[in-house]
Amino acid sequence: MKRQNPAINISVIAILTAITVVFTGFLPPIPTGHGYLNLGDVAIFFAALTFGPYAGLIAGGLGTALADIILGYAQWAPISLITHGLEGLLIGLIISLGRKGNITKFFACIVGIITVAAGYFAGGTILNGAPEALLEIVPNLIQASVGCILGLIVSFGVIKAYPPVKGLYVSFGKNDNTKSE
Amino acid sequence: MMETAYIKGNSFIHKMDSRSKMICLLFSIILVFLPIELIGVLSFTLFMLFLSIFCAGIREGLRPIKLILPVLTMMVLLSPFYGSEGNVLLQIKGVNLLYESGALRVARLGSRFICLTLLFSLLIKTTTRNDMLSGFRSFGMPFQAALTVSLILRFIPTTAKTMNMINDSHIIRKIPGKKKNKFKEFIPQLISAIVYSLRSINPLGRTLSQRGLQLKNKRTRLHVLGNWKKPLFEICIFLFFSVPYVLIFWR
Repeated sequence: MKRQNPAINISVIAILTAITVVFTGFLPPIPTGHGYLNLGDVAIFFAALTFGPYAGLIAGGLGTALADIILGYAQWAPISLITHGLEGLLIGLIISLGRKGNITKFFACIVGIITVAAGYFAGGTILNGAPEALLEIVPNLIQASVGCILGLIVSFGVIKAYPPVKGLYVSFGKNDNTKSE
Repeated sequence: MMETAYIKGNSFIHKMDSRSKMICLLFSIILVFLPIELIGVLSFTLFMLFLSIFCAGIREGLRPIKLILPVLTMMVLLSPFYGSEGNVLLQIKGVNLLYESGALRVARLGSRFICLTLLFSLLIKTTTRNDMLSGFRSFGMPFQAALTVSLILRFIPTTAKTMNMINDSHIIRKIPGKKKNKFKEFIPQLISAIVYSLRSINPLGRTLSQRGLQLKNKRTRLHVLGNWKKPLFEICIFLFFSVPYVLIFWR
């Protein structure tokens, strides 16, 4: 994979994470007994499918964690950071390593959905205990499934409407000579 | 638009260094999960509630509790599943609804949950965005990561405004009297908003390059916090109170 310009990498990640925060927190989130249902997964699926695993990892993890903090569910932020980060990373990895086709996308979606449900079950068990965490499995599965379907549609639509997006794939090469401060 | 949750104030928590606040938060999280007596957990939670109200005012101080109230209610309702040993505390028509062990476990988990919520909200409400970033930076966060976070925080309100703007423009385009199909209307809105946001990637990348992102002598710098004297002193005070607390309430 060709190494992307670091300035472009930072810009892509910043914009995608901002989109994830807005999709998670500012597009009307639906309050549930345990937290809130949101469209954050749409942005994560879109980021991972279109921009690769790194973008999925950072935009997914950081975006949802920031949204949790802003909306006042800060105690969920570490769980969202790990769960959605892992979700974005796995989807992106499967898409980038697998064959280009609908079966790969379908498999990536299933892995993403399971990651979300399992991650929030584990996190919920630590925070509130297993019985309470069990109740969250179904809403999380629904949220992730809707996110997956909409994410696929949005990804297809965005690539069609704005083809230069293909050149913005986030990648960090070995010969990256960027020096930190 | 809520860009940051910071609330202006003059309390001692507001005046604390962001680095010591982060370290104290970490210690407090460990403290909450230590095997200490229930009375210890409850008293720590009450102290955090007092601190939250003291630093952010009654309304904002109690807001985190209001947000998690549904979760707490569910925990109370599900208490029989958390434990069914010991004396029966509540029985309706011969059905045992609440056991001593379940009630104690719910009290422990509930107060721990409230405590964690208050801890995080206290950090966020009393620390400015710049201080938070500088704090992360002083813990070894790479320059590019700190720059990315600051850009994200800068772009959240812009992206939200874009979404609203595109939503409004789609409403204007709607043909009056035509039957609504929310799904069909929603997808183009999402795509338009994303494309509009993605268009700012290339100009932003160019700006970062022009500001010397890949150069050693950068033309932009992040705010740097002072030396570690003050934060170390604050952490010592925190430990001075928390260590005896743990020793008193250790199970």
